[in-house]
Amino acid sequence: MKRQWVSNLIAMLFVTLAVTGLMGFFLPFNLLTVSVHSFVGFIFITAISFHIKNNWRSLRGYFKKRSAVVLLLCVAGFIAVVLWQPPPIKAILALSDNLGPDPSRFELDGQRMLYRYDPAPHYRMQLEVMGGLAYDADQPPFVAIWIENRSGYHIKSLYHSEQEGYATQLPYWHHKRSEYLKYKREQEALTDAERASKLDAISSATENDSFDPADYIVPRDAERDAPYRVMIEINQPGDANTDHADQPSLVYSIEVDNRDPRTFQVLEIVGYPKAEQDAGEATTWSLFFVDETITTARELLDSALLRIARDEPRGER
Amino acid sequence: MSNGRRWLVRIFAAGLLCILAWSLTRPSGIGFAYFTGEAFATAYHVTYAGDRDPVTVQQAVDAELARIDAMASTWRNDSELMRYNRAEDPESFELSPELALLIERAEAIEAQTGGAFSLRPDGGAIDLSGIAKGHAVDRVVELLWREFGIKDCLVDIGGEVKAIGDGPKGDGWRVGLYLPSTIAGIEAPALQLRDTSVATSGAYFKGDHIIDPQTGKHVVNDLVSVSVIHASNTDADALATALYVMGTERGLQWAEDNAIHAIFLFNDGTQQTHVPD
Repeated sequence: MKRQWVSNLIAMLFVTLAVTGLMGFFLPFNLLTVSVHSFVGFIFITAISFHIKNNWRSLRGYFKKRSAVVLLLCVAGFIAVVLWQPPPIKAILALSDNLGPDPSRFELDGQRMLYRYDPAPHYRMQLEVMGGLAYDADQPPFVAIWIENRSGYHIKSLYHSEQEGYATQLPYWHHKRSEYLKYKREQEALTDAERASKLDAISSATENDSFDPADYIVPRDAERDAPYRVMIEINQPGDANTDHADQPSLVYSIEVDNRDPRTFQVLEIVGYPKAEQDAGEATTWSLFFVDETITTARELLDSALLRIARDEPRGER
Repeated sequence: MSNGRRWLVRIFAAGLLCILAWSLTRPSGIGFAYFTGEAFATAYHVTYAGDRDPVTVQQAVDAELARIDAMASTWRNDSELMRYNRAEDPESFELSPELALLIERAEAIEAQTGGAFSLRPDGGAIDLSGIAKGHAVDRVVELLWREFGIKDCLVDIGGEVKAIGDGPKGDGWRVGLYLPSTIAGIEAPALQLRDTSVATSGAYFKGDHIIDPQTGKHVVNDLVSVSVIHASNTDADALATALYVMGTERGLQWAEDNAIHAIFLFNDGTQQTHVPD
């Protein structure tokens, strides 16, 4: 392709990529920005291919020089540093209003787990979980952290251990999330059925609840906002005692009421889960009082502190 | 032609082909336009015959839905209904004619159904959630006719559906009744509707708590859902809830006594229908 065309095209595409890249960094996640950036990026790759083809002889000469190797190592090193995320990089990244569509971050540091979740720029949550006397950092327990509404319906899973067996080690959370995912699939199936069956419409009971966690968590109406709960389930496999071949998981909870906002709240133990079958043979999981038969399991978690930073909203979501 | 220009022509042609291929995947229905949106924390769909610009029509529909939301929503503090609920002297509160009529209709259905449908489900403030969506469906259909002369359309707001005219195939509109996957494998009933509407009430979606106003407790019965077919979607919306609360025996009897077309779907996948003479 002609050099003039390629150079002009690269210049125009570069401007577009620069603008959308800066928008993507500084502004909240926006699918249109990502879409433009991505598609222009593909064209940019094509244009660069032509540029390389047009200038291959010169470029080949440059690549043979020592400076090319030095630059390659610098670029690779820089990428490694960004991935490692030391404090200076984090400080720069903190300037961003957008770290992708998932606003959550998890860190594990010895006996301490730190989970951050920002459902909105003006509503930032941080859950700090300290391991107790029975906590072994080399063999950490299974942990699930989630949010539910006051009726006990799962809203969002914030974190769960991914080692094999997490479903059986964290049965209470797993059951709640499975039910939630089942209902979410029902919603999706509704639209798919409409398309597949050539029906003009499907009449159904209206889903009353949004699947967007922010709708439950971020305050919108001081008089109508309902409280929600932050939940933790924790379990160490194989922790036998005189009463249990394997002590059950324990569930901790705290209710957050945006109508009575508090910055710091400590989660409290609410029970251990046990499966029950109803008359229709569906399995449900209920919480039972943590009695004296539960020993070392109580010492897995020293404390779980929830901090919520609430600012004035910047504008309509 | 230079090499660069040839490439540009090829890229342009490829782009045109992609757009053509994409356009061929769009739903057919010559002469029918379609758009979707969100209102009342749910999705809505509108399909209509004619060549009216969908963007213009959708703007009008969105404005109408926003107006109804501002009038009757219980999810916003500043709605007319919420201000009325908070009024120290409700008697002196000047209700808009539309809201007054809607409350009156809800009260009438409450009386008709012996309280199975209630506009005060928790005994306190007025809550029109059980009738407002149906009302919105009726108003949108009226708007399409009044503003755009559209007399062949289907309006669906969160599963409350009104079908007017002959539809894309000339024999009415085909509307299915949703069956949750827990009883998958059963063919969902489908209705052929023309100049009427259907509303469905059920408890299969998360958080869809239907409270029996008389006991104050969640309704537990053998029903998956109840659908009511009625010319007024306002009435259909409220009656579907009432019949679900009543349960099969009482609900079927009530439908028969009041000449209401209702379809009762059960947990085992069977159904019972009452069609008035």
